[in-house]
Amino acid sequence: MKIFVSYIFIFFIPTFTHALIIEDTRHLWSRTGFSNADFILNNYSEHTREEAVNLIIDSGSYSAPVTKLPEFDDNLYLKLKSKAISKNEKREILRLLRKQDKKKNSNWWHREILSSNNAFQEKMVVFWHSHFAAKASKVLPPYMLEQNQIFRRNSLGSFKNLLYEVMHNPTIHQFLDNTKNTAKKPNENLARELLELYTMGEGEHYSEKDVKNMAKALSGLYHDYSTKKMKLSHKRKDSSYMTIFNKSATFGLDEAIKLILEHPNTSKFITLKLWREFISEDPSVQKLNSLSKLFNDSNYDIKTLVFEILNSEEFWSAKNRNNLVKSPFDLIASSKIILHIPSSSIFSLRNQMKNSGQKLFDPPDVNGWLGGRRWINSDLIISRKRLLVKYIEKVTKNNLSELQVAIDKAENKKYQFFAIGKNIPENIDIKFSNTSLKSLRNKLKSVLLDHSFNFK
Amino acid sequence: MQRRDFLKLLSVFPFLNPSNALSIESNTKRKYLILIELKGGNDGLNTVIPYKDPLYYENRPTLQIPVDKVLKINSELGLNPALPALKKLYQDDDLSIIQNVGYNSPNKSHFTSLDIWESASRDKEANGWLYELFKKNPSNNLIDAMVFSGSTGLFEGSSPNFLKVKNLNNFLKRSKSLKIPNYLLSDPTQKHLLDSIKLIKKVALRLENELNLDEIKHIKKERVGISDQLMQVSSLMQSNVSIPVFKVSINNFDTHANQSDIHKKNLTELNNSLDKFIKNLKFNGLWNDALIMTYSEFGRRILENGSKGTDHGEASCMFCMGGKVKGGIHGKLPDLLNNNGNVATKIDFKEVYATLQNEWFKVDKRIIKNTPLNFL
Repeated sequence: MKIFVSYIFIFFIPTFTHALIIEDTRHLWSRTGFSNADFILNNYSEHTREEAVNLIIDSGSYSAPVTKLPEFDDNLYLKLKSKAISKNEKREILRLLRKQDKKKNSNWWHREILSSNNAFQEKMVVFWHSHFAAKASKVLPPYMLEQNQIFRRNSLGSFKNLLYEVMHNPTIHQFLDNTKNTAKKPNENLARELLELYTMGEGEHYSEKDVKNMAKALSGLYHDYSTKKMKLSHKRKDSSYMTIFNKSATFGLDEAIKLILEHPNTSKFITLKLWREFISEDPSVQKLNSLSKLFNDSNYDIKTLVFEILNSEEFWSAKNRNNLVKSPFDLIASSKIILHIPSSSIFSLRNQMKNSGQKLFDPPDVNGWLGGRRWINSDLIISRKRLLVKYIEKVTKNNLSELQVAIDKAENKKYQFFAIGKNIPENIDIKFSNTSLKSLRNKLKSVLLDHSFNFK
Repeated sequence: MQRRDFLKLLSVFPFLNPSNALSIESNTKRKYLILIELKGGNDGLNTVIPYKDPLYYENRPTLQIPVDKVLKINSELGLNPALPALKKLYQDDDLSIIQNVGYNSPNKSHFTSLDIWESASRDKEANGWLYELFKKNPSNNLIDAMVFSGSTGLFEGSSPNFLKVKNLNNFLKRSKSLKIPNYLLSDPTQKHLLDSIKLIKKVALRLENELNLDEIKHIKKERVGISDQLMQVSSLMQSNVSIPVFKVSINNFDTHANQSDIHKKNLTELNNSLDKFIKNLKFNGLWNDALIMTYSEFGRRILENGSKGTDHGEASCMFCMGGKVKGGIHGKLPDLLNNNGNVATKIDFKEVYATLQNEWFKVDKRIIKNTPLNFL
């Protein structure tokens, strides 16, 4: 017990200069997925918290995918619009394309996750994928791939641009039946989820009438394969006079986006979601309001908001450490840095991620992954463990030397912090050097399968 | 052959099914509630069809079920043609259909509405109502519930006492190597993990000894269909494991477009898996101990939309089935004329909950104050 108390003492007395101590570094690293292990291990004490946050935010700026994007047979897709082909033939083509190309997308993203050095960007892409959740089963794969690139380009950019691009990309229109929404035959699916889940959050700040009229504003759109964007058919668009949020005119897609961005709840809701991603599941209302105002004033600059979040007192406070549950993606991203596993076995990773409850391109529903405590239930606890075991088993002789170089660089104690925050069991031996593959795997297991590795 | 005779036979040949034969006595005392969540908002009007109402056909130009296909159960109502097993149950007086179920000033968000159904409260922070019920009425149950699929909100609270399991074989095999952390976890989220692992170990140990896996040995896959989920429920019930509630879920009821095919597929899945499950329960003498109930977060709009689908609506129907259920229909025909294009709520779902609470679980401390219905 005495030992335990002294660890708390060492790790949780804040230093007044806010130079990083090892526990701060682990905290920042585990929540942002910063992948520069050398920095973590060697240079952390030379930086203040603010400098480190800046470094991380800069590291997360847009970088193009390092793996080759999947290619699709455009001719087949264009055939879907052709009048020369029968309905049954089209259905058959569509079935084939969906099956093949869905897999291509999924393989590509898992490969990219394992290959990319920009873990923070990847993390933000997963965040936006869960936020603008759509399931691949209802969407043409090239659109979904393009949506993923939109998340990449805007992950720390302007939420205005992000929303604009997402709303012009066909993915969520196909997923939520908006391609069928016309003046004569309204369909409310996208209109409702756009307000409730993508921008403003559920509540009394919009009415059932707003939903109905939003559906009118979003009517008449169809997807265009050659540009991978939505286009407007004036014939099918509802051109009546409509009222949304007490403003009346004949609104269309772009006006609808503008109305949503003018509504104060939009910045509140996005701020709340980012708070939950980075700080805690139960935000302080006062601080949330000031952050949301700042986000609004910054013209919806996501980078500014994330910087303020990571620099906030709440982010660094002792009560908000190790209180978030790593998603299956986080588990892989954070083990990746330790394990140096090359991108060979993506198929197994895909299945293990799926069993752990995070099948990429296939969130459970339009609400995305709820995360937090919801990652912990009996079924998932068991699958998460399997995910890590399978991943550790991918450590091969080929990785061994590379791994040992990295490990040797680190002093033993520093390495421990990858897995273990405040509770270091005395009996774990972290000396990795000069060891067989089997015992290396066992040692990795003792670190990564420690229950504290579930938390960030 | 009567159940009793069959069991006698088993006791003569105990190798046939020894664990079953030994537990006859206590088996009769247990009561199980099996919940089936129809996720996405089930279209009540195309499930229990008011086939005599001209407004039904007017509002459903493409989605209407032709009158000659409807499985008629009386002079006004019939079941969707995908539900023959339920018609049979109705004829046996083992199916109670509750019409126009919902709540006042309904919310049309899937997630908020499901929250309201699960907590029986409009307070977003409220715990699941079954969590509260079991917390207020402590018992010797192994756990409150086992959830095989779908949301777990009914059982969520500050110290939850349920397990989510997809595949019992894998669960028993894989939970063995799970270790209980041997150091202090103080943060509430960390404590939640610790408690969950303890619960897994406790339940796995008991099931290891008590569960008869014969009927579910073949279930190996990670992804377990609804029918096999219910077979696992049956095995747990046959093994006399003290878990009062089981939950499974069927997806894809959110039919905004091309509803006919999707809805038919969903209801067929419901029908076939229930048919197999119920036959199994009857064969094992458990039909009187089981109460099966379907529910959904809301119904759908009366008028179909232009995409051969329906948008989010209000009240819908519920099915309650079991040997102890009084068959029949509760509530009047849905009113397709008034209430702004929605089926108006006539029965609060809390009246159904009150029935479960008072007449099925028969608990001392009631948390639902509504007047129960009389389907039990």
